[in-house]
Amino acid sequence: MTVMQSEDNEIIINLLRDSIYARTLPPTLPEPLNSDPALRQFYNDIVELREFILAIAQGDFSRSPSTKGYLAGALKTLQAGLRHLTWQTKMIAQGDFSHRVDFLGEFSDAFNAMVVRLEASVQELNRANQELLHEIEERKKIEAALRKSEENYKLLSITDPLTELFNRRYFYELALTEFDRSSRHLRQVAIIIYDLDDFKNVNDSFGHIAGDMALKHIAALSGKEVRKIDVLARYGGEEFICLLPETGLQKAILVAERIRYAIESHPLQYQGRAISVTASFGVAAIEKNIDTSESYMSHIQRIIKQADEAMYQAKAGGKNRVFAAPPV
Amino acid sequence: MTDLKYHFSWDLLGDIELGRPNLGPTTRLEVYRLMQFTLRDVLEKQFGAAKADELFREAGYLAGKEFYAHMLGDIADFGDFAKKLQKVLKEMQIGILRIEKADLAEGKFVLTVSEDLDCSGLPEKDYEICVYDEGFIAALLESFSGQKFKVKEIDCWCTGDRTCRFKADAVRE
Repeated sequence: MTVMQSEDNEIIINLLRDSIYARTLPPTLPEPLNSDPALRQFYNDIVELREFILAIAQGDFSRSPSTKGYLAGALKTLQAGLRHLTWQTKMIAQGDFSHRVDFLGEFSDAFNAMVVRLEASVQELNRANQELLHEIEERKKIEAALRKSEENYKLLSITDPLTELFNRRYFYELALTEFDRSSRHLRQVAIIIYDLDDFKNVNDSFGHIAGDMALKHIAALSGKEVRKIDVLARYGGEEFICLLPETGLQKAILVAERIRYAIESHPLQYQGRAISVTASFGVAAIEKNIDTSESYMSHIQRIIKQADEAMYQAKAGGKNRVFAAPPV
Repeated sequence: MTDLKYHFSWDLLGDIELGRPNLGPTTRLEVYRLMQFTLRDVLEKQFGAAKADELFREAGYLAGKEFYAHMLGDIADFGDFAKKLQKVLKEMQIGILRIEKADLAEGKFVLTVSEDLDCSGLPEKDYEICVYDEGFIAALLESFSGQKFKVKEIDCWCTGDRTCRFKADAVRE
C-alpha cells in the first residue's frame, strides 16, 4: 500500500512537472489517476490552460476557457487588455485619435506617443491638403479669369466693336482658310459686298448716334439672313462683306436679295421716327476650281474687286439693288 | 404598486454639496459594499437567491437608465459613447471599462470592468456575482441604441478572474 502511494505521488509530481515543462501532454490523465474526479478535473484544467496560453502567445484572443481561478484569471486579464487594445486600434484606424492605452506598462507609453504623433501627422497632412485644395481652387479661378480675359482680348481683336460683326482683318484670315478648303475640295465660294445708300444723309439728318444705330441695325438684319458657316463682317465705314462657302453665284444673288429686302423693309426706329435705309449689293463667285498657281490672297482680292465693281454698278443703276459679276 | 414611498428620481440623491460641506461626495467602498451585501442578505433570506438576483438586476437596470440620462446624455456615435462612459466610470471610481468587441450591426458586445465597485477583491465563489452590473449595462446599451439587451457576466472576480467580463446581445423581437 505504501509502495503504491509512493508510485502515485511520483506520477503526480511528474505530471505537475510535465504540465509546466513538457512540449506535449497526453489528452487524458493516465489510469489509475483518471479515476479520481478531482484529479481528472485538475488535469483537464491544466490542459485547457496550456492551450489557452499557447493561443494567446500566437495572437488568438478568441478563446473563452471554462477554467476559473488565479492563473486563468490573470491570463484572461491579459486577454481582456489585448482585446481592448485591438478595439482601440480599430477606432484609431477609423480616425478617432482620442484613445489611450493605460494597462500595458512601457508599451502603453510608446503606443500613446505613436497615436499622438499619428494624429499630429494626420492633422498636418489634412492642413497641407486643405491648403493644396485651396491653392488649386485659387489657381483654377485665376486660370478661368485668364481664359476669359484671353477670350475677351481675342474677341476684341477680331470683332468690330460697334456692329459686333467680324472686322476686316479677321475676315481675311477666315477667307484664306475657306479658300484653302474650297481649293482642296473643289468647291464653289461666293462673296457679297454691300454698301448703305446715301448713308451720309442719315448722319447729317439724324446725327452720328442714329448713324451708328443704323449700322448695328443693318448688321443684325444681315445676320438673320445668312447661315452659320457664312462669314459676315464689317468691311469699311458703311460697307459690309459676306463670304459664302460652297455657294455658287445664283444662290449668292438670292442671299444678297434677301438681305437687301430685309434692310429695305425694316426701317430703323429712332426717337419715334422710322428711318429708311437701303443698300446696294455686288456679288461675285468662283464657280470652277481655284487656280492654284496664284496665291489664295490674290484670288480673294480679285473676287472682292469683282464684287466691289458689281456693287458700284448697282449704285450706278439706281441703288437698292443687287448686281452680279460674271462667273469666274 | 403605483403608490411608492420612494419612487426613484435623481433628486433623491440629494444636494450633497449642501449636505456634506466637510465630508464631501465620497465614502469608503466598504460602506457601499456593506449596504449592498447586507441588503442582499436580507433579500435572499426573504425571497431566495434567484429572486434576489432578479431584484438586483432590475435595480441595476433602473440605475443604468437614470445614470445614462443624467451622466451621459444623448450620444450618436458608439465610439463617443464608449469613451464618455469610460471616463465617467473612472472619474466616479466605479470601475475601469474596456471594450473587447462592438458589433453594432449584429448588436453584440463584449466588455470588461476591472477594479469593479461591486466585486473586485471579494472572496472567491463558484458563481458570478455582478447581477446589478448586468442590469446597469443592459440599460446603458438600451439607452444608447434604443434596443433591448440581454447582458450576462461570463467572468467575474468572484470566480477567480481579475476582471469582470460581460457579454451583451441585442434582444431581437
